[in-house]
Amino acid sequence: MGRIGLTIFCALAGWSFLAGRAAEASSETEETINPVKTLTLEQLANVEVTSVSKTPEEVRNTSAAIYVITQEDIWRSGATNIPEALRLAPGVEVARIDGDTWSIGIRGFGSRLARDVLVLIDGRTVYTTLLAGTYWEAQNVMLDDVERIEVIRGPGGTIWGPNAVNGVINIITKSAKDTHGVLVDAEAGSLHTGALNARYGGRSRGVDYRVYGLGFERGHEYHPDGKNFDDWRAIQGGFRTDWTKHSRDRFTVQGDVYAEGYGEGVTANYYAPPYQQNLYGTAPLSGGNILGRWQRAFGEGTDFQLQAFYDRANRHELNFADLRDTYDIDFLDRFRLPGREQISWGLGARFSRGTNPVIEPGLTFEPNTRTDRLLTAFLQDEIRLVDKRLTLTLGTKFLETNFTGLRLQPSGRLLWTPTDKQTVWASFTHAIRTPSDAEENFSLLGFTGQFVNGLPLLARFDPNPHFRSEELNGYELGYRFLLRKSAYFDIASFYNHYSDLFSEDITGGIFLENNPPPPHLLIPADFGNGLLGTTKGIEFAPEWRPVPYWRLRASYSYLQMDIEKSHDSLDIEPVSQIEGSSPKHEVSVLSGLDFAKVLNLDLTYRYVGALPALTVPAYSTADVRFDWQANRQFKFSVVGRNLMQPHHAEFGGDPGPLVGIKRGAYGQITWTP
Amino acid sequence: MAAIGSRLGGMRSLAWLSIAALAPFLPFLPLSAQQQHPTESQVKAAYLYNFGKFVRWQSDRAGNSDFLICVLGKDPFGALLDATVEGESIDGRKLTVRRIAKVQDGSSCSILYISSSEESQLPSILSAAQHFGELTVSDIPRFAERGGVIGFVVQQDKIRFEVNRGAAGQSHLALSSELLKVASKLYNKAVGQ
Repeated sequence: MGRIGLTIFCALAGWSFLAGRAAEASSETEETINPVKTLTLEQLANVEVTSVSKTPEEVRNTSAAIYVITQEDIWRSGATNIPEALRLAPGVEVARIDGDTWSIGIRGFGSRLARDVLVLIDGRTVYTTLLAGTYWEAQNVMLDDVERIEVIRGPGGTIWGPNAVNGVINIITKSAKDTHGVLVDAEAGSLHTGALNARYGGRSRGVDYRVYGLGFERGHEYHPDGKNFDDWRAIQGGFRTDWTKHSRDRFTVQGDVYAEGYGEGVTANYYAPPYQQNLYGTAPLSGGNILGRWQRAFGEGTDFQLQAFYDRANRHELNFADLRDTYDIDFLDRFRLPGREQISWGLGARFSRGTNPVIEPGLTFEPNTRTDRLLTAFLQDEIRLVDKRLTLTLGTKFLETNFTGLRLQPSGRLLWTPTDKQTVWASFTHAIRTPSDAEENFSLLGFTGQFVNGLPLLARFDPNPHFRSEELNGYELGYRFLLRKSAYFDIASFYNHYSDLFSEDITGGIFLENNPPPPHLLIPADFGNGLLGTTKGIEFAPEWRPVPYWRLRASYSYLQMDIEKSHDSLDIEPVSQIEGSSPKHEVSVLSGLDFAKVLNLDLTYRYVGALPALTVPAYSTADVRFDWQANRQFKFSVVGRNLMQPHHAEFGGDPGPLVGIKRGAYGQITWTP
Repeated sequence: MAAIGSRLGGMRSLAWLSIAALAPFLPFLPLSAQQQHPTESQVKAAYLYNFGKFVRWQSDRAGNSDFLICVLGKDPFGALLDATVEGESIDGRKLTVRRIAKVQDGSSCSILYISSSEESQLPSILSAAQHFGELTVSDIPRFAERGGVIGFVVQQDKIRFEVNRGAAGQSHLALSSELLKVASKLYNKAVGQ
């Protein structure tokens, strides 16, 4: 399939190039009449314009595989939370494990806690170094106030923070000046008992502000064994203030607090009988954050930004607890050199202090209070080699953590715009995924299910203080083409070479262990760096507006993973387990129709390839969303999701049989008085 | 490969299903060109054409009977701007469009549209334009704030403009109250203050 993929890529690129040349020649004839020429100034100021393609120039001229999910994309998709909205981006594997848990990955390695994707909300990192990943169920954002979600597949280049090995997801909320007035949004339906979002924003003494509250209660998905543990409820509130001083300085202060009941099922392991059992219940999660940002712009690409945040997260799961305070400060500066260079540099420091009281003896952290330190710096030089045509960006990140010494992550990117409508870009990045508490401080017990001479045979992963960073050398090539202002193609291909990948290694022979009692046989193991390999693939995302009121989008992602053990590895996790947990093919097709100016109809079709390691078959499903702007104040919508089957499984991970994600529908009323 | 083939077959039938589902709605779809939205460029070109009617230049464009709208830098309009001003005139002077690569080439321009490609040279461009007494217009971010006379801003899918009266005064331009009334924001600070 690799060769075929490459052939398709070349054919598409070649065809688009030729089509583009032909189209450019004839594009002049389109624009010889200006229909708004006779309007008065006042009328011109009230005319609504079409954004020709949803890709602003800045996205087209980025030398990375970036996809921007706009606010309009989100509300038209019927997504009710961030993971559902992420399905809109190509190359992102979003699989719903159960009612409140997701597995998200970019270009492979998707799991409940994807360790190599950096996730930020308004610049605040929500990736935790506890177990290396992002707890999506605790990242609730009022979707009406999301301005856009930027998804960058691939190592995030120099600017982003650490662990952006396979991608970066940046959720950006609207500035307070864009959310004036009242908005109330209520949902009810078969999938969830109800949700209510409300927000009030205004301006007072030169400060724009908003406050919001949201609450929801969602029911469980389909469980063949009847254990319906995955219901989910949450309430959250927050605020944001923005103000400008002397038209040069911009300040933002924002914060949120939340409390949730997260329904889950876990497998707990013990040293004493019954050795293993499944626990089901509701785990309380709560927390809050506050963030402040100061930006000063001097004009012409010279500016700086200082940001600091504090985040508190309390997680009381059924088998472990984590109470964590995170303090972070970041500084970013950009300026132009007289030649054709733009220099960016930055410094950052983050301290994350966690306490892990023992809940069940099979899952412990040693020591159970730790402070993880992360110091970063980066330097980037963007050089315009040929003005407006060829740009070279060179840079490096410097990283120092309590797990690693000083590490360098260099990258080089080239952007070529042969014509105004085409972009070709290429990049090389060396990125690392730093160790986390999960590898260096974590003990995890497992019961093998077997007894030898009456004694239980257990296995335990012990902390590995010598766990090294996972390393990536990533090569990417991409092409973007805007055809006749109504069609747009974006192709990105990648080849990633990984070394020192996370492996589960046996560290010795079976022995009798007396402590903790009672006596048991133990297989010693730990997390090592015994795997390496490559992933390669291609993502293709065309977009077309055949007529201004009909928008068609599609995306196709292909991923090939080849992972193997390094020659001295003692790894016990079969390589097929890793390779078989990511889909080889993912397709989606979206159609958005506007008619009569007050009605919208959106249809989405998705296909995801099989996950053999989790015994999840390939599936296709479809969503439909219909909305009606009844008058200036009220909008009514009806959304049907996962319509093609009564339920289908997307991922494994919970104890027991695979959870089926149910077909359902909901209605929504949005009121903006 | 056979498996992929059968999956593609399934997708084809779904595509037909979606199109068929649209059929009942077709009579309600707007068919006339008037109901389609214009583009940003069309609205901006229309503005450029209109601004000439609401501004009075003090300095005389000696030696040139044409009213020149000049585009500096990467031209975002193409033929559209020429088509917009085709056959039009202001105060008896024929409206013409000229593209220039350097601000110094535009001494006889009345309106200077500065493309966003020239953002890095903005201060020197603005001081030369002020010297020539030109009405500077652009969609460079915060253009009016930074000393341009009229800056385009996009607000909720509409193109609006901000005006810097101080900058207009320094270029010896008199702005009609009708123009100021429609502006979304007014700045009074002149360039260099």
